[in-house]
Amino acid sequence: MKGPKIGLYAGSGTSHSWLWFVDLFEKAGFYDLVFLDEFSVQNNDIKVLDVLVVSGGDTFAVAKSLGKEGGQNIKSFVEQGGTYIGSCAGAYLPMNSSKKPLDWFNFVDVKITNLSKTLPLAEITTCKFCTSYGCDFVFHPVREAVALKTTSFFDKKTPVVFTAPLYGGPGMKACDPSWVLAVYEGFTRKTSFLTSRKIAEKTLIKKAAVIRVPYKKGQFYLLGPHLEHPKFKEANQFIIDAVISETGMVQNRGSSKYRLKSAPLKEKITGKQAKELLLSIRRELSNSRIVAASLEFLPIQWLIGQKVYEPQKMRVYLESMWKRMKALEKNKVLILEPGLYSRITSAACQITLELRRIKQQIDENLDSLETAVKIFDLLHVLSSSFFDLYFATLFNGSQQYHEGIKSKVKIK
Amino acid sequence: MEYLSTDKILVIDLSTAQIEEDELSESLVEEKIGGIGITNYLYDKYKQDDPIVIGTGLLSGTTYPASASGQITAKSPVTGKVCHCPVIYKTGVEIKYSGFDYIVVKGQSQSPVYLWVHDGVADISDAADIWGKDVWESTDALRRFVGDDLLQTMMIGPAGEKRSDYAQVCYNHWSSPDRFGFGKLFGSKNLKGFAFRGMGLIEIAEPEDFVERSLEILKEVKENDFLEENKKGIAQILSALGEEDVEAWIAPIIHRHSADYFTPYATNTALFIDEDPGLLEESQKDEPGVLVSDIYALSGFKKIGLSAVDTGRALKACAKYGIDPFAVAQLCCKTSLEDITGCFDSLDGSIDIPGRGLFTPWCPTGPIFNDFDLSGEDEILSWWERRQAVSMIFGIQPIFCLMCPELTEENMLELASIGTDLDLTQDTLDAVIDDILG
Repeated sequence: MKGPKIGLYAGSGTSHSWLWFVDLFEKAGFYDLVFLDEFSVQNNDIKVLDVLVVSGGDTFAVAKSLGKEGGQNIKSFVEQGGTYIGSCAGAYLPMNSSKKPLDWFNFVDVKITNLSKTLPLAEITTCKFCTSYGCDFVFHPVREAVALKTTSFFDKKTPVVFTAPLYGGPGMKACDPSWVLAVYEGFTRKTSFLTSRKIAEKTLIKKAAVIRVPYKKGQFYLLGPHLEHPKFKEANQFIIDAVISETGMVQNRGSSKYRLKSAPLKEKITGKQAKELLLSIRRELSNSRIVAASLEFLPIQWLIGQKVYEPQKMRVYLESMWKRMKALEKNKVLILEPGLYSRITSAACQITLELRRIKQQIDENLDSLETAVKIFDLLHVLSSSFFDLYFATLFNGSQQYHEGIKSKVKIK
Repeated sequence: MEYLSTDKILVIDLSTAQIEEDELSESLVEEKIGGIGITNYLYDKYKQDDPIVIGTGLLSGTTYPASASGQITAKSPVTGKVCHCPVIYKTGVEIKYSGFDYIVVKGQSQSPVYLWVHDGVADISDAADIWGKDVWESTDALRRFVGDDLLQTMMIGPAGEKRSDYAQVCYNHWSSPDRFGFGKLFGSKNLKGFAFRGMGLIEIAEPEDFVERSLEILKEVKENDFLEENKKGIAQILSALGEEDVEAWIAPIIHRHSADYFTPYATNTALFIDEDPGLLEESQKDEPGVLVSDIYALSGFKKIGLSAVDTGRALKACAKYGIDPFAVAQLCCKTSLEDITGCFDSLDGSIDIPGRGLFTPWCPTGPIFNDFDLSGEDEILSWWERRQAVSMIFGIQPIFCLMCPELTEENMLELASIGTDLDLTQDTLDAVIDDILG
């Protein structure tokens, strides 16, 4: 049994939520992960993939970064049989839109239900309530866990109700009802209402939460809530089932020629060199998370693009790497692409420096936005490089990998 | 060693700038338990290199009441004996959280350095920017550089750099229990000090049982009269030891009392000398006062006639300079604040270290608040030395250990066994104590 080759977009405009997909796929034993930035999408590196994941973030910023060329490559990828999974911002991205730069991504005829010409009254004043969208507003009636109910796509007899968190993702209306895989069924005790319950119900309940749009040989999966969030195991399983169902775990979309052609050469490092690399990663991750944790005591947030970022999000990146250090340190052989060694060490050192700089800027009441933007960019670079190293090292030995898949396709 | 441990012993050679890590073996814990049982062992192992051995107790940083303490074991450059100094405040537990159970520092650096120990990584860092600075400036500079106000330091000041016999290793901004001149030892190695920070967790073999028993013991502790009477701070300790007049004398400048990690009695008192002591919000002044743990230094300055405010100023000056305030009070032969703070470099004489000279008289040499059914000086001194050894084997706040009969050797062993899944017996503990006491 062969696992799917999954690409995660971790470039400009994404938030930390792509890290949740990393957790999810690792738990499922899908180690053949590729971490993409806007340039690799524009360079059409995605053509070798079975699945392309675009996570949450700032839809406008993602669209702008990927550009028209990125949009065309995504379209071709799905047309030729690829599976696109978009969560939250990644779900908004391929919907038809007249707004620039979203109009480079007009692929699916799905409407947003949380779009209004007049902005509903916010019951909780929060910067996360709405985003202007031309003359309209995309508003977010609730946050946190909501209940979803499956339709008959996966299992015709027994609809399943499960929960997943909503952090700005869409309620949706598909032009073909058969595309809907799950609807918003209700709210939970943990649902936080940003507007009145009545408006929230009208906007979301019985509206599509998960949609699968067939598109020539492939398909777009649009997830309103974050089904990939690590605390929602049933929702996680939904994604895994979708990946297995679409890729069949054995199929290659006839793309082996691309694999051979574009598979980057990997090198092995061992002994002192491997030890030094791991120590330098550990050192800088430690330095960074110590400052990042201290930033969490400070009352500060940054508006980057159309999205608000808090210091806590910096630590999400750092912790996602830190928690994997022990597993990585157990490997005596590290496998990495040429250039990755210096990319990791350089980004790790720079993040420490920039975090220390931003702490001083905040302490001295200086503007820290520019530094915050730099830090988030560096965190994307470091974490995607780190995961390249991590999965390439763990992926070493295909037998172990395939056994991993067999035993882990059920999320524990 | 999987539990109650980071599993790591760090060995740093300042002469060669080499850093090595050893595993902490279960067999060593079974034989020596922990804390000064193991720092003593490591001192012997590396004694040809005149090592400084930093460690934590087996229970340090856990939910066992008052499990706050770490230790420094080294040969005192003043007494010539191998001595054990507790590491208090929040610094002791941070050693373990920063990823190492024990740190051996060998040799002498060519140039001033400090050791930055964090999350299982140790860096020998250039101390050029802080060498020559006082303890407060050094700690502040390192916290600014690392970007974290929770950084815990063990630093020397000018006294240590000048290799004064009375130089202390201070913890964060404050004076320490060091009466052994360990500050001089640090200075002689060109070692400005340590900075610790860790965000690690300690694994426990049977966590539910451990927490449950810890809470039972804590409940018993809190039922003791002195805690039910809500006693707190340094002045009430002095009252219990017969110096009742200190309470009223110091009361006008007391700002707050603070406890070491998870310690039910606040053994430290903050004095505000440049700020209103009644202030209930964070002071805007950089240096509003001083935190005092040294009861004998406090009463020593009182005895030579200083006012409470001037005592606070003297204690603050000692902490910044990194000099033992008790030695200053005992040996300065001055009566004005100006004269006292001007004589740090010209002290002469020695202070008494009781018993075998292994433990610091910063800690009262008898029971506090409870009599522990002891009588006679010999019995009390013998009990005190054993109690100090026990507190520093398990990592218990050493002053609180003298207050609280509910913290027994039996329940320390019980919790250590639950926490490690090892069978640690009274016979083993007796043997370790015998070894320490010689």
